[in-house]
Amino acid sequence: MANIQIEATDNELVQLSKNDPNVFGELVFRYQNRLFRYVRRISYFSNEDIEDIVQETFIKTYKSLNIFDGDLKFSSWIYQIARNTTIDAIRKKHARPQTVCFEEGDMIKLFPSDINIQIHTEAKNHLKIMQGIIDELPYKYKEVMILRFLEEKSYEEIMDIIQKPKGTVAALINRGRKMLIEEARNKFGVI
Amino acid sequence: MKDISKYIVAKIKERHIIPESKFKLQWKSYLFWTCMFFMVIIGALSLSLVLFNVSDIDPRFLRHMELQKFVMLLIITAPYLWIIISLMALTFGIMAFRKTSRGYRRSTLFITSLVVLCISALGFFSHFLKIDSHMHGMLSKRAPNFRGLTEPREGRWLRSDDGLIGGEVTNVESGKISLKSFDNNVWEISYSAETDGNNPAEIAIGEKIGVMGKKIGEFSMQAFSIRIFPDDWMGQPPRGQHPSDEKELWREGFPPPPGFPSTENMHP
Repeated sequence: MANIQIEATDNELVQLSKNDPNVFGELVFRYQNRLFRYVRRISYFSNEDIEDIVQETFIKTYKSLNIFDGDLKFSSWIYQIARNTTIDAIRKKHARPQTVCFEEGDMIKLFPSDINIQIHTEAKNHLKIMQGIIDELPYKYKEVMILRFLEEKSYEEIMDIIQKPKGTVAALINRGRKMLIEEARNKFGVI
Repeated sequence: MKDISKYIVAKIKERHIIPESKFKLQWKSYLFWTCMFFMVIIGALSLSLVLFNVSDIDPRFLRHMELQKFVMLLIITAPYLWIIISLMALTFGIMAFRKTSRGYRRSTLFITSLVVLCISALGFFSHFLKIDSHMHGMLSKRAPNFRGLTEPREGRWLRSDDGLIGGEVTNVESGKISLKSFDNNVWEISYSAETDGNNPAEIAIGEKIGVMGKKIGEFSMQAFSIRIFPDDWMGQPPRGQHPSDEKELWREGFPPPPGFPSTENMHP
């Protein structure tokens, strides 16, 4: 049974989970780390809070299994639920996400290749400046850029996750990148 | 992150959590689909009323009217109420589509085109089936105080200074027609061989006509063009009178409508 579950696709596991919660455990296992990382990137919460959000996401997902019809990818669907749960949690705390948690590698992915970020991140204070630039970006741009460059989602997947038309997604990514380049140029006086 | 899969499964079992029904989860989406459906219907009916109210505007108007006057006439007598209602229905229809579960996947241009197409197709279909005419008649009967808003077309044919007068034919003579206008004035319409449109000699008493011409006296006009309105003009049956005028007609000697109280019992 365990082997069958490991080889099964997400959609097959969804169908089986409706009758057997044990099968749902496999889906949780597959997505728990990805969702934890994603929620950490789009929120400013502590690890304990993020864990709570991820748990709530899985419970909501299980309750909503009947509306998953394979029309969109399971990963997009669960990311959509995680995003909505995170936004609800942010609203409950009556605060906007300010400082998001990035690692050095994340920043290299976020900044366009025409900015030689590695040179500038050598100095620790430069890393902080880069973090500051990303933090200053409006949330809507930051969110799509995280999905595109860190979570490596396609435009269609991002469209399903944030529930906005594809054209809007493309425009947000382009504008976000332009804003990052401009800010980086201003702060470092380079390129 | 530590493995929480066993914990989640245990929690599901412990709390007896089960997947909820599709309807409970999707009711909002169904509600928005229903809203969109009704908006399309309302938009289509309003559009058909717009078509109904402008369908008598003939390109021949331009032959006898200056362009400026023609444009002014269009602006003044446009069916604004129905235009506004159809535009509102379009806007709410688009918003409702957007709120459905997969509404975000389509661009605003696509949704707008789709809703416009649905409203237009159904609107023209209603116009073709004369549903608008029945609605117009119903509105005349049930909301007589709002006639100015709901029936701009009638107002269009009361603009004698702009050369437009319409009403019911009360007498036909050679070269002359007597007309009772929609505001109950008696007009004398002169016509000649150059007058275009329907042949005045074929116009019968009781028929409703629209006259384009030149005002030559307080209640007289020289006709350039005469056209007979369709039988369903003002939403009435052929040769019928406006419902509010029934009592007046009956006093003038026409038989009382069925179900109308007898006069014998009305007088002391």
